[in-house]
Amino acid sequence: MALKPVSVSQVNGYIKRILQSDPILGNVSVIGEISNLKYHSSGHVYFTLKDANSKLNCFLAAEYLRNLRYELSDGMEITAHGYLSVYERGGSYSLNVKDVSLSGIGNLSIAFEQSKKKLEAEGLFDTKYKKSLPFFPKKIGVMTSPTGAAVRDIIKIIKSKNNYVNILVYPCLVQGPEAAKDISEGIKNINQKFPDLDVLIIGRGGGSLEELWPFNEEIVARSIFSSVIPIISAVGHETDFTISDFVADFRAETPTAAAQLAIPNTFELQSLCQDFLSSIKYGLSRRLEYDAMRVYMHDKQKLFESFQNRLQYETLRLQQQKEKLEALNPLSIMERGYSILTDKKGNLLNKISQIDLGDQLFVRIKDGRLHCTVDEKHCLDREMIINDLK
Amino acid sequence: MTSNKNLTFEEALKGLETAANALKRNEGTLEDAIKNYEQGIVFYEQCNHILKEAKQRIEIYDKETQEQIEF
Repeated sequence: MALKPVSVSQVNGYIKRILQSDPILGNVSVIGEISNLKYHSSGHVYFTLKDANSKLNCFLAAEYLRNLRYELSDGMEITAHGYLSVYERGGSYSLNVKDVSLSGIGNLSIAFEQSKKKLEAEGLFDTKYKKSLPFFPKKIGVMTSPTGAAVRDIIKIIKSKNNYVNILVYPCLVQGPEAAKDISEGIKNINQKFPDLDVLIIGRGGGSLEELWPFNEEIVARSIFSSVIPIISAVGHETDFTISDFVADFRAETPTAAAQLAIPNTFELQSLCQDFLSSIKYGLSRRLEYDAMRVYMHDKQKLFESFQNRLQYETLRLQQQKEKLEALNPLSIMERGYSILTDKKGNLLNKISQIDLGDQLFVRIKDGRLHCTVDEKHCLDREMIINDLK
Repeated sequence: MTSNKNLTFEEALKGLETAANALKRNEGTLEDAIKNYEQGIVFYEQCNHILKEAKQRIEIYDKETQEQIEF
């Protein structure tokens, strides 16, 4: 027996009441692949979950989106947790999603790439925001699990290299759904409570992609980005890369490497100071010796001796020049008995052809002058000259 | 040269290195060398003081009591 006809509104209202009172549909987890993913300007997200045979419309409110641990993407298989709700006016129903979980390396990798792309586009990885590490930190923070291997390794390395820096261990969760919130709040708290920290290491030892996931979550990335204290991210092993690594000021391959990176070796610094001290002492004493030698070289006695040597040398040279000059002096030739014959004008005469009989000539001898007249003249050939001189 | 006790280790080390290098190059007057020597010694003493006075503390923050306790 059919009931009497009812209105469309009555049908939809009835369906709504049925669905809302259903204990299963009020709290359901649905596995499916995301398609038609749309971020609305209101901040809400609309998408469809599908499997091989069916589709389900989904709605994710902005308030839940903020707390989501994963960046969503079309093609990603997720488990959506929420409740079924009916849109009475449209006569449609949808899954009202409150949380999303992911599993499998494939899906997590998609979420990782998606998140990396988004934050990179926002400039969170930009090198211009990277802070530098102080050369000689006084106090460093280590934010990790207080019971894990990472904190022990970090402390061990620091103690072996540096006996100066103070270490503050700030305990936090490093895996599970609550970890990201704990890390994020921890970073904010440390910046407020311990602004004297020179460096903050955040990280954990190795683990699966799921276990390392908190370090890929957006709230952690944003807290790292906002930190005033420089942060070294050290998550997992060498091959693990997390979003934290990209946002942090430095990435260390492992927690041990982070400890190495954060602090100088104070024992080496001590010997470096000793070396500089030796250089300084040696440098000054060498300089003093050098200057003393210069003073010695310019000492009065030395100067006098060198002046005397010079004087002797110059005197000798002068003597030699004098002898050379004397050899050329005509007076010294006349000393030996030679004389000079000139005409009236003083021209030197040395050829018989220049002289005629009766010429008036002058003869200059060593100590006087003669005024002579030529009475005879004879030409002599070479042989006669030689004989004549004999 | 005034002794500045508020220098950081890095500044003191830098000063020490500068003095050592200047003396190595052996430039300037003897007065410069002596000045570099004296400054270098002051910087050295500051570095040495910092390194020798090191009293490392390792603590853990207790979230409940909000206190730092020996690790």
